[in-house]
Amino acid sequence: MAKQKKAMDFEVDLIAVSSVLAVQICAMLLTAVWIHLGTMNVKQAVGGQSQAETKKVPALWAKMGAGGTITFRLQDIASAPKNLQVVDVAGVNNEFNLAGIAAHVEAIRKIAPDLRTVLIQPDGDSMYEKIIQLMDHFKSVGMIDLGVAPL
Amino acid sequence: MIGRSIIKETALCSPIGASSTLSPKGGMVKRHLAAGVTLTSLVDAFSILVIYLLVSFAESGEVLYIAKDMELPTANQSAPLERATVVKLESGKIYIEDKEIEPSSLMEALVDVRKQLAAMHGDAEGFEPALTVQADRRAYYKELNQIVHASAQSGFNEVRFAVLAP
Repeated sequence: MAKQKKAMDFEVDLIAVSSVLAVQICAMLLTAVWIHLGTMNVKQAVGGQSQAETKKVPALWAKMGAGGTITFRLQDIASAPKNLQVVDVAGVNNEFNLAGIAAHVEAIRKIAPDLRTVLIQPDGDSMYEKIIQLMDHFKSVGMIDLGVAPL
Repeated sequence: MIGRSIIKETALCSPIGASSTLSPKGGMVKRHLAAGVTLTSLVDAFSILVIYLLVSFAESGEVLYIAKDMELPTANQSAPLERATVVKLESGKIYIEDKEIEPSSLMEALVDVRKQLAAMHGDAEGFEPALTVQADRRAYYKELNQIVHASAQSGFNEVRFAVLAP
């Protein structure tokens, strides 16, 4: 009498597999897809170092004032005309005048095409969100080296 | 063996199949009201989704733990999140990697962190210590200033402000 052939097939309960996959998808959708985190990187060009250690590089200072006003001051760009050395760009409805800021940066870069550095000087009552908004705007107009000055 | 399989026992006839006019048994087949689900294709679809999400998740591999009441600012021009020491400002308190630090001893704590990082990296070329600063978008700069000031004093060349990328 021939022995009965042992079956080599086995079955996988796919319901459990699909449940595990569904949980994984939900977890990853919540963490990886819906919340995209990034960083706004700032070089510490200003801060604790002494005056002698500080490298003199052409830079644009942007002092944040009340009502969205930004006071721009050029540093170490001797070729710039006097009317561009210190310029106030007034805010609009307590917000930054983004178009005005972009136009001013464009005017400066006609004189100093290699200028990439902006040093932001917030005041104590500047909101973090506004500082980031300003940094974001500077990056979007090509000023990629950002610094932020302590109070 | 296959005749007693779990698939056969749990499989349900679909109403469409049971009422098919092409069926040689015609209306003799008992109609079931419950529809069967083909789990194999469902698992395939789920697997593709999981792989896709894993790939996008592994873009930087970094995750920040954000408190429920904390809202990060939004920025379009953000860089991908990279691993760095996290300094968090939450409800006026400062944390370094979830450990609360007194504002007066923040600088000493950051100097220690920097020394540890330097010891780990040795004289590795291109090593620049960086901090990731995590704060609520409504925070005032006078609160953040102590972190910015202490990081500059303790030799962190780069500060990365955590933001939400749209």
